[in-house]
Amino acid sequence: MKTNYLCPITLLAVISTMGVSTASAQGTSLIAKPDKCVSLRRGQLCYQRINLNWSADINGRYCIMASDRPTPLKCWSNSTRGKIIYSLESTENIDFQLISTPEKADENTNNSHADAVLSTATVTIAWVYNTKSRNRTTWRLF
Amino acid sequence: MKITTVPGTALAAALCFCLASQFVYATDIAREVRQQQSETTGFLEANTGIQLRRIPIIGGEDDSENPEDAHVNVTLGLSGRLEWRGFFIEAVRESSNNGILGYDAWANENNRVALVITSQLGEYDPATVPGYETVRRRKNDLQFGIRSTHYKGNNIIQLELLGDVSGRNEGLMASWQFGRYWQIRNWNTHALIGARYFPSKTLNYYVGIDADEVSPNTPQYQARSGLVSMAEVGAAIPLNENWVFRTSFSAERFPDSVVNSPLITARMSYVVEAGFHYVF
Repeated sequence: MKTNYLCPITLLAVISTMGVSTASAQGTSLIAKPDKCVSLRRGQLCYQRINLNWSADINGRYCIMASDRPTPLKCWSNSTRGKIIYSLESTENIDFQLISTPEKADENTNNSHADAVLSTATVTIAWVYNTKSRNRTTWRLF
Repeated sequence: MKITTVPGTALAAALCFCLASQFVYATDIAREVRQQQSETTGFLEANTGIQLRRIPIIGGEDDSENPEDAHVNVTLGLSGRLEWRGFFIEAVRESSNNGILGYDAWANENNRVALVITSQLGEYDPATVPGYETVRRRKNDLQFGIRSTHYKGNNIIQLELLGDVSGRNEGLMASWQFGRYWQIRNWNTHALIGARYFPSKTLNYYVGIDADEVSPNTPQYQARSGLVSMAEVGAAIPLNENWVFRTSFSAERFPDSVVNSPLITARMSYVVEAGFHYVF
């Protein structure tokens, strides 16, 4: 019989992850408006100016990361709120993360592994016309 | 201003044969450049908009004795495409009762050859205009032929060879059309140019005047063959996942053999339109 159990470290990590990813639990929020970008057809680049607003209960250093970029979009020091406008150009959904970082973190380095994700927001890419790929060579004889 | 609904006969009756041909013609390559893709799954959309058009053909407009004047219309319509095992049926608002039934016989990544059946040349009735009562109603044709489409990047070239099988004019038509599309941020723009060769049999059926149709306004006229050229530019932007705003301008230039007919009042026809499309 197979026994399933969670080791203490895994359990701690799960609880920790749940804690930081729940904005309300941490008193933080990250809101993206609009949260959808619509292109004419699937696979097309979609362009949209996204307003990103964040807030936190505790003063600190916070950064906003985007899933299509390795470095933070912007960081704020000793702040509890902030906003930026992000020019989205993408064919796929973009996830934004509000992270807390050490005060001396460099904006140009990717140190997200060491940072705590406090809140996330996703901008979805939608389309009007679906697309299918063109045929490979086919002959049809009814 | 009048409201044109589709399906129905109002628009079809209003469209001159050349403009109708442009629109049916447009159901394929222009639909592709308008949607910025060379292949779609089936779709269904409803649309409404406003249209300014000049169709310089006697009887080309339902309610006009002055076809050389531009007319403003509010349009309502349905467009769609269904596919099944290589067969497809496609109709766009502008073509009204002129749909296309086709079969993709051969295709590879950048080329497609289809057999098509379509009614391309629209019905119109000059006898509805005072002074032209002697002229018979021109009826829709039924075309069968081959259509070859070639893709390279954002460019599409389409060639067609179609013969009338309705028995009304028995002409063999050939056409080419080149389309290109661009994306400028979320705007999708396109341009089309093309030309269509009409044999004497076809033009004579639609714009010729037979001996029994002669009147003071309509001297006997025998039309020769001719080349109708066309151009179109347009733009579309998605408003959300279901709504698209589209606008376009298209024009056709008639050959001498058409312009010299007593049923034609100008060399150029054009349509400017803007509207909202709901995609289901």
